[in-house]
Amino acid sequence: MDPLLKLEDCTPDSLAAAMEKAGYICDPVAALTIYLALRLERPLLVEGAAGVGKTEIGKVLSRVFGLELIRLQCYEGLDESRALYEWNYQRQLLRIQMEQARRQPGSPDPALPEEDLFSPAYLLERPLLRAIRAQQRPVLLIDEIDKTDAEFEAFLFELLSDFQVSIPELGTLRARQIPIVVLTSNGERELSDGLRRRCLYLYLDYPDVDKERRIILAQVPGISTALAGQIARAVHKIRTELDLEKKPAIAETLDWARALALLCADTALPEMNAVHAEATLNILLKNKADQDALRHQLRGQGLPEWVQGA
Amino acid sequence: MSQSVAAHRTLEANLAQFVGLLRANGFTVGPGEAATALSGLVEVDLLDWREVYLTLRATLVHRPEDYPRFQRLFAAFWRPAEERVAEVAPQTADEPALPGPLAERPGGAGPDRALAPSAADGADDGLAAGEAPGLPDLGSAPGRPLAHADDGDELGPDEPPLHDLYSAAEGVLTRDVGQADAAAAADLCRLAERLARLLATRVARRLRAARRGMRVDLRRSLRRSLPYGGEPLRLVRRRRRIDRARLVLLCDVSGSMAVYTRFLLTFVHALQAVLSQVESFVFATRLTRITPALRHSSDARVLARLPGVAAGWGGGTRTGQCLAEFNSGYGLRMLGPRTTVVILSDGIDTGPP
Repeated sequence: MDPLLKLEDCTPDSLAAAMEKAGYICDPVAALTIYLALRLERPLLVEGAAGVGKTEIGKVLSRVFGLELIRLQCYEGLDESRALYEWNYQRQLLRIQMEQARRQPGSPDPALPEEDLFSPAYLLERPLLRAIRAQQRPVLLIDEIDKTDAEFEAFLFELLSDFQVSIPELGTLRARQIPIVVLTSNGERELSDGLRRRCLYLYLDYPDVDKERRIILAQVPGISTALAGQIARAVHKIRTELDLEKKPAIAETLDWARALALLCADTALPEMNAVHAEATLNILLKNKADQDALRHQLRGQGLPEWVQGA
Repeated sequence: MSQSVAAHRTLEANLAQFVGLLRANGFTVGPGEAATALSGLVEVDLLDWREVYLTLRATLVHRPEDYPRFQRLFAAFWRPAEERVAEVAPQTADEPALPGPLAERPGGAGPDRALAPSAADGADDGLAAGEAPGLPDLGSAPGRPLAHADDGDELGPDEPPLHDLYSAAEGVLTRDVGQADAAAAADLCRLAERLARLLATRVARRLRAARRGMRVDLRRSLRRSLPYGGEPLRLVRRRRRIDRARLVLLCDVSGSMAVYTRFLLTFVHALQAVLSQVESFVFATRLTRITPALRHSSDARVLARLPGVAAGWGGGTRTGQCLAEFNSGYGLRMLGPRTTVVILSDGIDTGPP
């Protein structure tokens, strides 16, 4: 994987440009914050509603700099043995059995040394350990940190401040290079001050019309500029003017854009028409109450006309 | 940052001062963050006002709802000296946390978490009655408000009754708190503190009970057995995780509640002192977060300062609107599956519900 940009010659502007080349449209605020996180070697904590492109930052950074992406998906009950390391018990047990079978009855054979069983060969690396032991600086994406419990979070921010771990049987392992760390949170739970303090903070909001249009153009090949703009305006209007249970995320916008682009290409229309919009609404709004809310708002109007109107 | 060339030499000093200002305004900024901010400033263009602003914001502020406040302080502090006014005294801790955060967080207008019935639903509604302990109630059935506050937390009603604690104080409590004279007021405040402590210890007791649900942790047992050749000599057990209770207190400080306000705030203050995860708000016409104001003070003097903080202190009540404000501004962040919201109000609502 060839890097689009070298870490050394990264500036806020070149970073934004490289990210755009990798398919991620980044506003100046985000670009500067990400740039600072890279330069200061601090973890970056990204918060925002679901589907505004938080996780994507980690993925794009790995693409831009050509680095390995190590991802830790958080969930409730996640513990060290899933996130950091675990011993391979099956293998250890097998080894014990083999040693027993081999041993001659009555011979002064020394017992199996314990260190043998707790050597790196029996160690299962989990994402965090992998990030620490990586040969090359990796991008460590810790996704949805708010899903874990407070204890794990405390453990994590210790790790993030020192980038070293102690494994009782092996000793202390120190990171070869400090990984680029991106943490994301949906704000389901209040994160501890300690964690916030250690990170640079970035709040991502739903994109504005222009940014979303650029995202559509970057992500949906072959879509017409007019259609992309129309979709961006429609989605923006739906997000801001309707009281929805679930606002459409960027991913849904993109799905919708792909669907409409396909329909438009089939019918050789430059823009969306009311029939297509109506038929594909379920891609954008994924529950009945929200769809009804939009239909109510439309009052029989077609979606394109509604977007056009004031 | 127009005088930035001159400022560069004194950048550290200025930043230290600015951090001091932030702290005085209720931001928690540690020396580590200040250092990060400084090294961040080195990386960006100091002549570019926006880059400086964003750098400081990214390094020093960790919550979107603090952005507007930060922006005001930033503007006041980093303005060229001649324009600067002495208006931003450290006093601004009473800068109410207001309209800004809500408007600025469109993403926050998320799912309507059920915030318990609005207190306006009337005292017949079980929950509302508990949450709005019109204080005379407290006197006639001392254990009651607590039991209700606990409901959300699944505390059994069969916990040891609280009556014993009240016997000494009963005389005070059977009267309407509102009519209590000055001497009784002091008693009441002490009582409120004890009440709060008691609530906290009750929570603790429940946690201990939960610990008894033990299970064998096979994975760890096996691991322990390896040095002994695979014989599980010792079983490792696992406990249920301990859940810490989280409380959100919404306290009505409108005119109709005036006589109880002092008592309630003492209670809120004491509760916050004994429990670590408490968020407190006061509301009348607007909602104001008072957690930071209460956190670092050991005595009740802080209570005297509070009326300056909240908008509409002693005025009308718009419970519904304040609850909506809470939901959209803080709800998503503060409400978890284990959060209990307690609304202290008399249920009089002058605004639309």
